[in-house]
Amino acid sequence: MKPSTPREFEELLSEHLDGLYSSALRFCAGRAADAEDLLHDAVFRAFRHFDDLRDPGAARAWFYTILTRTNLNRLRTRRRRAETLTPDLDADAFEAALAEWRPAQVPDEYADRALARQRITAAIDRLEDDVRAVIWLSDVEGFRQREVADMLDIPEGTVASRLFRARRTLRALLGPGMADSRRAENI
Amino acid sequence: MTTPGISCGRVRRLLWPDGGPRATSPDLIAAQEHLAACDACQRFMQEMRAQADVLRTAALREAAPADVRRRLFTVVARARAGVQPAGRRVVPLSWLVAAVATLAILGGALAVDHLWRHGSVDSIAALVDDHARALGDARIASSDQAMVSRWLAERVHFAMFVPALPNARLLGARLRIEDGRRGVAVQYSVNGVPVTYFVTPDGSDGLPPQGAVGAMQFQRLMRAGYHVVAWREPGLLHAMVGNISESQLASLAEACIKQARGTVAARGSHSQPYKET
Repeated sequence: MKPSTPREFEELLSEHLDGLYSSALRFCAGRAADAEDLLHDAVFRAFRHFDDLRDPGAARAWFYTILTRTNLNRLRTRRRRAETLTPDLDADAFEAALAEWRPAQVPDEYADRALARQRITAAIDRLEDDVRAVIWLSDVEGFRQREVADMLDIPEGTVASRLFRARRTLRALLGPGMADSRRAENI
Repeated sequence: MTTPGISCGRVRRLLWPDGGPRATSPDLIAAQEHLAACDACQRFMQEMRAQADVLRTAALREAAPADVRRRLFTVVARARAGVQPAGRRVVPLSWLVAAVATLAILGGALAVDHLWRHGSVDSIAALVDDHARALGDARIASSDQAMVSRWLAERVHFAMFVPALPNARLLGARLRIEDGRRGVAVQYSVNGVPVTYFVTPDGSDGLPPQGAVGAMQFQRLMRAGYHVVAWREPGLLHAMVGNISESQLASLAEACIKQARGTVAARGSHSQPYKET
């Protein structure tokens, strides 16, 4: 089903804007000005390609794909100037890393809910760009591995290994207590 | 722990993250058998699920500030009117001057004539939308029924009742613009599932509502995977939309109507969807 009127673009954008903004903010490691700039570029691009959206029910994934790809372009431009990245794990290294994971103890450090929110968000912002996008889209926005792979134009296995790297780094930054979902449930 | 032929690392790589149903293979079956018997792998899977839960519930998800929203919708309105976003394109000044002059001479008269004759082109609609959006923040996030009602009352031209729906948590409301007219979307969470209650000026003004007065008739639809229960009253179209069962949505709609009528009755008034002006 194709969106029937141009006005639907604004309707759909309005519906998804908060999620897109918070994602842009994380993609830009919390820098609000960069996030708005990214969002402007993505929205303008989405408007120009609105005809490509066949099914308004798929609008969320479509908007996020455009935001993610726009962000990738931004990162590529930045990387041409400088920066080194941690390479993705190959299958053997990934399996070795998975096997090394030791179950966490559950300390009491997330009792302070506001502090937990701030610490978790700050820790996400400290992740490398490529793993941050994966963990945000997968764990926070709830997209499936296949969808994240499509958005980032990478294999599903790479999504898995980046997600694992992100989780491992977050656990190192936050301590093992982040695994206790019951404490964070009401945060 | 390792069962013959498959290591914990491989099991975890095959089974995590859970990507939904997948083709059964000997490796997958072996991995599942291993998982059923391996305490360390079970704890690994539990911890991965728990981490995802923590991030989903605890990560800050900031709503777009009102000024950011306004600027973005201005970008859209300008794009619709054919204006490039400021600073996005570098154009030689001489080219720009020549283009503007040419357009002004050749196109200006035609455009003005078209506007006055037809009166409803996209750019005009964009201006109207822009105006309507600029008349205040486009959204409120609050679970306070009275606060949301007051906020809406200042922004729409019809009497808007914000119901307290059973087993639903009020999240807030936002304005929606359609053909330059303002409608409302009130947002709820029903056991964690988003449900939106839309009220919008109905294009079929003057038509009688569906069904007899006192026995409002629902239209039950399915669109893009969402259930919709819609009903009309003179001048207004109401709809509940969400990914919950049709019967649940209908119950919410019934509660909404019942409460709205109770409020009207308590005020000693007849049903009057539009405010007195």
